[in-house]
Amino acid sequence: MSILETKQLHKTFNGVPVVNGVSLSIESGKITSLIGPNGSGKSTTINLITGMIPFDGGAVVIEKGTILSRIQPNQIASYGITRTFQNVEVFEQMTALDNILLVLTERNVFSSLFEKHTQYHLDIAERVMKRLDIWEKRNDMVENLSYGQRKLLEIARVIAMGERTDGETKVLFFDEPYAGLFPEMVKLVTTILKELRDEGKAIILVEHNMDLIRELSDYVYVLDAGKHLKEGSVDNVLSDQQVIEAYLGN
Amino acid sequence: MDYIIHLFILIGIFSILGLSLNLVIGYTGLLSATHAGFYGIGAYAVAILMKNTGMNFFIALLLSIVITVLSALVIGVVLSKFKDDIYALGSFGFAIITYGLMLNLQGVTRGPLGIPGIGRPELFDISFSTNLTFLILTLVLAVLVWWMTRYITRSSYGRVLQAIRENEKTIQFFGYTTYWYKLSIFMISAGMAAIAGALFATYITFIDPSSFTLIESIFMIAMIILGGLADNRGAIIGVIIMILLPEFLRFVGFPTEVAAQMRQVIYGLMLVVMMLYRPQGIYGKFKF
Amino acid sequence: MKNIKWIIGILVVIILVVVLSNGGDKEQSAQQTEGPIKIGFIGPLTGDVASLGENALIAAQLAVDEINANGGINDRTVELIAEDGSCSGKEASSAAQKLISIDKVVGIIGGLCSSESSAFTGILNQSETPGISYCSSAATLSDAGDYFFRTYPSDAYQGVFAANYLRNEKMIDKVAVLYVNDDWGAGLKQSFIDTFKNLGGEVVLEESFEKDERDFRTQLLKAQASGANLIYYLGFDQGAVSAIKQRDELNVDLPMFGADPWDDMTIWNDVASISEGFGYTVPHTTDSQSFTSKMADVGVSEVSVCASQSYDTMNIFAQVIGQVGTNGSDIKDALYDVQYQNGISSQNISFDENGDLVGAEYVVKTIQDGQVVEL
Repeated sequence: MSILETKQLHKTFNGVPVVNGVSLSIESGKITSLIGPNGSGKSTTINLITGMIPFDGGAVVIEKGTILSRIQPNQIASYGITRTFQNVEVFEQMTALDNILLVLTERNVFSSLFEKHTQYHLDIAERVMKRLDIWEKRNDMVENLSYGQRKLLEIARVIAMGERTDGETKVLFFDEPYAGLFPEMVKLVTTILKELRDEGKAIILVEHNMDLIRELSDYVYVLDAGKHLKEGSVDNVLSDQQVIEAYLGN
Repeated sequence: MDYIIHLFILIGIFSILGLSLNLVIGYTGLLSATHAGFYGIGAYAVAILMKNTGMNFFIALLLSIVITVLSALVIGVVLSKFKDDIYALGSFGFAIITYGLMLNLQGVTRGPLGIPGIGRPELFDISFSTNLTFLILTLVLAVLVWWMTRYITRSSYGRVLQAIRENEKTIQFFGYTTYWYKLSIFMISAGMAAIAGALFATYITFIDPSSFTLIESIFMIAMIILGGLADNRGAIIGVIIMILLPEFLRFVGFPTEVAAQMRQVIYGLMLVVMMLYRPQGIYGKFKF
Repeated sequence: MKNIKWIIGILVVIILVVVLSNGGDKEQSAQQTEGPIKIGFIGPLTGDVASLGENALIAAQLAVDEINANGGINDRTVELIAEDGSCSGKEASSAAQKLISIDKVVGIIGGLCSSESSAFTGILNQSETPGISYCSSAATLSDAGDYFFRTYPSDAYQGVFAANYLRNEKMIDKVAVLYVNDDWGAGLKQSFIDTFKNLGGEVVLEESFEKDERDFRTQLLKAQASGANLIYYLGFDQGAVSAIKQRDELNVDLPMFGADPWDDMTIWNDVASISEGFGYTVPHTTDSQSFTSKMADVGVSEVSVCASQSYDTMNIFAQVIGQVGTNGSDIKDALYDVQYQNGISSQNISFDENGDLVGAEYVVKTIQDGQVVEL
């Protein structure tokens, strides 16, 4: 039973179809990878599902059959969806700890005004940040952290989203989480992704490194020029002649 | 000594303005130039209520806060849809509109003639008619505002404001509807500006639209940038410098013929030098 | 912890102020008995109307120099201390507060703008320091308390005078009023309209414009269409020149009538030829020739409005202080009884119970054959 589906998603930029009828089916407890050559529409697909860009056609179906034809960014958290960003989007002139506390506290304007973070929130933040080995940096301004640490902070933020009390986060999008990471950080992220899968989260991964895709993916979608080219298990997909051509063709 | 008290009263009034504007500009990153408008609406509301209905200052103050917050709601509903430079431009527009209304709604505001003879505050048997008692009232209200801004900026809400300043687009993906935050802080800040307006009106006992122009907003923005954005101490230090520096320059002893012009030139130059020397402001944590 | 420091800091400041102010009160009541007699001056020395303020300051200083050259007041010299009021309430109140509590001036000449004067009349009354404005004309300043006087007539008088003249002598039935939207324009307009209507006239158009407006075509055409017999124009020199030229271009066949800012030869050097039959009201001044030449000697080629009042104001202070000394309350009482003779701005200057100039005299000047002629 899929936790999130897309049906014939369409998006056109200046008359050029960038995403052209993509239908995905995401399941809990699995890592679903989106692969394809540059410009094949992987990131755009994620941006459409998470409301960063409005889609022109098709629909997103979330759990219990709710069909959405329009998604606002501020709604996705309530659908149990969260994400990281291709170009690390953290809050630069705030501390690393504040970046995490931010997703743990109240969303409502009035409740947040009368709330101050408590030891309870700090404990969660500590647990999550320790898991990514950035707890030592908690009081540093994010703008002073290294690129890799900021990527880890983004992943910590996604995990923290799953720890907040006012709603369960079930679907996690990772848009190129490995780009620019040192080998030991790569190992750490891999461990985290596996742990999250084992906790029963649905994970959508966009990645270029085929070794990582082979190691992590339970299911793979291949996109090419905005179109759905192939899907299936890693071994089947990566040995497919069409897929190899699509990659070599670029 | 009345002069010193007078300067402290002005510092108190402008501290309220600086602290409240800092919530919008420093913490939320919204470059609003409408603040002088709310300062004016608060001043006019108190002046008109006290003059026309003989209402007690403290009741008039509460009503003027309500009126100003409602005005901020009307303006903020539009303004909160924008961000960055468009927000700044929109707020310029609203500053000009509020000034235009004060100038042209002559039936209510008496337009350019201004409202003279506004009474000093009274509470039961206590009259705040001397400058000293008025200073104490001003400081009590300024400390109250300072405590409120401190509370707000330390709450979870305050953290969201900073995130909006840093990256408004991204914070939305984590379940925050930034529109409500931008609108609410704008209203809170306007309500505080109304307190400053009420104090100004009853202190000077005369108001006219010229005290609430766009230039006055820019003066307030300069204060908090000088002191350092997103820091309450910074806002107050900035206010103290911006109020005391021109007064200090009265005593430098320029020749009479050029004293006034020199005062303005030196004042401007010193501000430029301070910004060159410390662009993030004295206590600044945050840069635009 | 930092915040506690701040609260303590603020408390310390309050205490300090309380202590200092108690000490200060005694200081203030001390009479100024020796050294120069200090008189404060407040006017806009920077900003839009700085030229008027500077002109008035030079005139006041001229009076001070003359007084000192003649031995001062009771053998004490006079010192004029000028502060910039910037035509703003906030600035003017700081300036007045500084003059009174730091310089301990005996009296204040000023302010120029009504917004300046209105902002510190409270301070004058509280500190019992007399102030005489040489230019503020807002009608509301009549109620500004015992310690505020002015040698410049309230707008109320000029409006009343102009309305009487136009209605009773020129037999104008319908008038279109164009006025600059500031305290002067709006105040004068109101007193004119009230009087004009009482006299049975009709105001068929009432249009305001901003200080820097230079395009009056719309208002002029509206005035023509309104069926008015005359345009009453309340505005300053550059705008007036534009309006008069545009009236000519558009062939608007209505005479124009102005107020005291029109008493400025730069206007008529430019447009007198197309202004035949126009007129304006201006406060009556005497002996303006000798004053103009004195001002020329100190480098002022164009004497602007209010300069002669500023000169007279200083001399009135000198006369009164010579009689009663430097106590503020005594000076105030003496000012209500003062009879100042041979003034520049007015032959006799005295104040009524509101501190307003008594018997403000106006004259009408008209443009005839390209020349300004006093009626």
